[in-house]
Amino acid sequence: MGKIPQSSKILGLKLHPTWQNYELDKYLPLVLEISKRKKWGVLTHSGVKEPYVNIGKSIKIADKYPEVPIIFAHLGNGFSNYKDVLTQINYLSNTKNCNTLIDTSSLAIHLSGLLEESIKKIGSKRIVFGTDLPLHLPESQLSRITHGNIKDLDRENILYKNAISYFPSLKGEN
Amino acid sequence: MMIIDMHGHYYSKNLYPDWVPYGLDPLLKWTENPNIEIVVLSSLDVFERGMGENQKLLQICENNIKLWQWISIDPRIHYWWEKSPNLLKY
Repeated sequence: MGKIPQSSKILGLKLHPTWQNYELDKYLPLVLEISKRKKWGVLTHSGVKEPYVNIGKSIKIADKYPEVPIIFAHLGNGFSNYKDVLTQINYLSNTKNCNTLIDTSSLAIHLSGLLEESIKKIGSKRIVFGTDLPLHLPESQLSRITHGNIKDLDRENILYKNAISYFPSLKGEN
Repeated sequence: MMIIDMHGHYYSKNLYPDWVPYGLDPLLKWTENPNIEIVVLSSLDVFERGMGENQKLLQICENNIKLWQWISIDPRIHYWWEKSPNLLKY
């Protein structure tokens, strides 16, 4: 039986616990251990109250693997009102390491102030740009970042600098 | 300004309603923007059709300089990291 292919175009692993009905924190230690060995990152579906994705527990596990960048997807996804939309960010603000990131691919990203408040709480260096294309209109997702009331340096961090920093292979560096 | 999209998807027809774009066309259209440097994709078909879809996406990514891949996995499969995506089925 063969192995997962080795390719320079593979950045890491994608998990979708909510779709597949398993608890992320139960399997995350092994996923991160393998990712550490392979020098992969991890992208997982997440949300404000998404079933099977306990960000608090997952962050504590991720803290033990500071070499592995893990992106929690969909900033503000599944919010019920403005009071809970920063739930993911609040969890991220409690971590001791900075390998836990969040991406902007979300319908909620269009809420007034969400991006700006997120930067205030965790800084722009832990936020990466994502579109969820073609499920979302990528131009619309990009517009929220380019037109956000944020500093140009924060914009650059989110749009590309963080990606290169956490994943040097994207620019051919290891 | 350079742009890196860390979260996109590839999938085939019938996973979503017909009016939702699918396949390679929307990805290629997005990458026509000269500022888009890289788009990192996962296969949503993997969760419905099996992990062979990873291999399909890998070939697409290897043939397009702007496309990269997240390998979709089911961590409940024992020794998933040793198994070939085109052999695994749920």
